[in-house]
Amino acid sequence: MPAKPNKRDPSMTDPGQEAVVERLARLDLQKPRVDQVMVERALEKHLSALDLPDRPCRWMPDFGSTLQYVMEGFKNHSGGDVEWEAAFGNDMRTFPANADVLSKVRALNGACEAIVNVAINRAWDRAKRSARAAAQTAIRNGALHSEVDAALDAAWRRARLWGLGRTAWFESDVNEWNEAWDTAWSNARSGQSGWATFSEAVRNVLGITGAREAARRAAYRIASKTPEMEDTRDKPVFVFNAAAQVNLDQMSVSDVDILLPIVDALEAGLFLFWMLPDEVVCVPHPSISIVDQRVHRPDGPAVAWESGECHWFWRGVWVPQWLIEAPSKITSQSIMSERNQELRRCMIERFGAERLIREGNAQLVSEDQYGRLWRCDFGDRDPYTIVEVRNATIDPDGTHRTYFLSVPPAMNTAHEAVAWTYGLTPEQYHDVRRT
Amino acid sequence: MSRVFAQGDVLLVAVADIEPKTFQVVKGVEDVVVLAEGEHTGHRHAFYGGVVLFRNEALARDYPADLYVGHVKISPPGASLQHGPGPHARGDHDSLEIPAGTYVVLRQREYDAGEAEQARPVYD
Repeated sequence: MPAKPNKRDPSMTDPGQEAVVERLARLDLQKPRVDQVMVERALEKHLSALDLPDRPCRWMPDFGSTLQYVMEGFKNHSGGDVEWEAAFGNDMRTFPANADVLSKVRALNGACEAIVNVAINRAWDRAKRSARAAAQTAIRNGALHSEVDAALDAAWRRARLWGLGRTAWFESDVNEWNEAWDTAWSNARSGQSGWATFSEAVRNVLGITGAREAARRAAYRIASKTPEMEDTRDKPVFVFNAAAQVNLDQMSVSDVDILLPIVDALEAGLFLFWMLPDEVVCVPHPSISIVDQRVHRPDGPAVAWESGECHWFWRGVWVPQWLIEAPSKITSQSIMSERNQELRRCMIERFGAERLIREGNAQLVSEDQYGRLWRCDFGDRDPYTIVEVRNATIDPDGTHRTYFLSVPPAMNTAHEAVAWTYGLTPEQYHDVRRT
Repeated sequence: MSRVFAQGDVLLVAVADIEPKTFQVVKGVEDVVVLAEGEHTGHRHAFYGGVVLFRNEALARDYPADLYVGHVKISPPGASLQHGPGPHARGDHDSLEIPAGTYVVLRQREYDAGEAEQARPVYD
């Protein structure tokens, strides 16, 4: 008599799912092993599953050189392979996007994302700088409003040409680039998020593809058949968090054939790739330091290629080198005058909130039985709010230890702030026994 | 009577009594249930007997997922949550006597630059 099938145990994951998750979890991000032959074999399988012609891989030493290579449009190609985009890229874009999942996934993707952003940012900054300089000169020379406008436009056009370089781009690419540039510029001038539009457009033009991102999506798609997974604590959050978001019943065998090779390529050390019509431009996996699921390293570059290209990160935020390697440069004065909110938060964390309070830069907002709430105001919408809590246990020297916790800017009482640190409302956090 | 217990960066909130299912139980070594390890000091928050740790994500939905450590079921007459390198070796916090019952265990968090970045809408 055939055995009765076991009722599915919800804590058990599908063996295929488990295998992919385990493979990705085992990757040593700090000391990645790059096996070019295996990457190339995997990409060959991927293309074959899509019924597209195979093409050679071009290995670049790091991200900077790769971007330059692609930007300069070697062999007259600047965009991605349209056919591949249609067969694979578009398919990937139809994945359901969930804001919460994206925010978590961003942590690990931070390294890949941020360095792409840095390069695009440089072009953007250059454009803004030259536009500002042109406007200032025009104003100094007493130009009329319309002349200032004209100077801005001229500068912008020059910057755009710089972006295009000496490259013979495809006409369609040039149009796309120009359109992206113009939209971004008009948004920037009307105070909307110019950079976001711009960077998205540039990515589309360049066809930037993160192996990590693609592999992760592939893994989710292949992996997650159980909407709820138990005991995820030991597994990297990034592997799991999107898992529940995808409707996997719709996945076919051919999808697995297309997507699994991307997981193989990532595992073999591929970090980013550009799929061009006659070659694949490959970037090896750099060494990435991950702490608490975020790209982070307090004493050196968190992302580094063997070529010497480095990037610095503080708790998932891309930061300049000095913040990590010359923290003595940070003073309460430089913090108070820093306009970039993200950078300022990192500076405070490096410097110490307690020291900022001690040096008289914070105001006491509220005090109750739960502690004291301090706020540093910088005249913008991102004040730094800290709750000071006293340890209930008496230390051997007879004193109570005090510690400082950063909380969201909107907190108004110490009670509310301490409750937030445990994920509770003030109503839930009362009559507490503490040691 | 208190329903909320905090020992440094670990918090227990009393909830309705539930019986853990076998597959939900997180097995400890010799009755020791560790709620959090000390990153730098080696001091951990732990029960040494009388406690079962289990995970029930469905019942933890009201709490931020990244703070959820698990649920604990404490048998009568209660158990002692200790902080330090081992049983009865004192760390930074006195031990905390917790009455029998079921509790959800949460970790403490901070709002740091990474969190702020994620919480912030995209603008330039």
